[in-house]
Amino acid sequence: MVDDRALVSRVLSGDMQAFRALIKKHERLVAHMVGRLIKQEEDREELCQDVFMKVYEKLSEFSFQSQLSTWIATIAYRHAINHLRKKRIMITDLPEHENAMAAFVSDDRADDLAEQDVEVYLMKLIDELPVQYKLVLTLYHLEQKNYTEIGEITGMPEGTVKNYLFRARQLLKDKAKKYLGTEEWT
Amino acid sequence: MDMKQDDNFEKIVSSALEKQSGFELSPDFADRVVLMIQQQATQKESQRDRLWLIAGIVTMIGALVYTLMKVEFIPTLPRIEVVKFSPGVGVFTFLSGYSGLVIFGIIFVVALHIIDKRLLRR
Repeated sequence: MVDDRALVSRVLSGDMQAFRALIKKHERLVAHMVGRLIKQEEDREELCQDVFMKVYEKLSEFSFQSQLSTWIATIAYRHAINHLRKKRIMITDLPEHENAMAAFVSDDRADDLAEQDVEVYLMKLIDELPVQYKLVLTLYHLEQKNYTEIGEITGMPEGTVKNYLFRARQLLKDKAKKYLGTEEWT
Repeated sequence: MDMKQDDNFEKIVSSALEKQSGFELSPDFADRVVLMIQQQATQKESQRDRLWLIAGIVTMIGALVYTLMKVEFIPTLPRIEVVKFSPGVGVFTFLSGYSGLVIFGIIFVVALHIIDKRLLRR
């Protein structure tokens, strides 16, 4: 795997093959970020393209004070949020009460999916979570980002990141427990 | 849930998140982005060239106007003379004494065309 510093310096010297490699290395992260925030399928790929165009444009300003992936994720997050603002799509505000939170996922889902496995059920639950929860979960579980990095990407205070992650996981665990009944994770 | 259950939960959540995103970029995504960047760079370059061209034309017109003012050039309208038109071969009248040359010229041009189309283009 090519070192990020070496890759960046090659891109800055005009090597487009290096930029192609940089895209390949980080496209999954950008797709996850954009995929979580943007529901419209027709806009997603175009937004990802714009993100990498922006990365190319601003790469000379990147000073390695954070990881390259964190910096790219920050650009992707801001770009997606700007897109939502332009299209006047509101991101649902997160309710503060636990009861209200639970309302995002209705109880009758477990019965509908009684015959299916836990993973499928969790996929349904995750899909119904508020966008911010999904995003924080994705960055933590899939991209292995820590609280500080997630805070840097989303502009949320570290405490809020921890809180969102805790609530999202708790919600999923509670629902999964209900779904499993007396069963245990296998 | 105990520690083991927590670990399993983490794994299942990660796996579900991976599958749930349902959005994958096309395999040629990186190539297309690179192509777009290269196209943009070319466009920028041609825009710069166009700007230089416009700047050159403006400077040239400016220099012309300045020169005309400096030399106090006053344009006068040319006199228009009415010439009575009479049909004829005009400047080609001299060819009447060189019919051999005209025939040679025609044969030469036709031969050139034949050589060009039949031989050279193949």
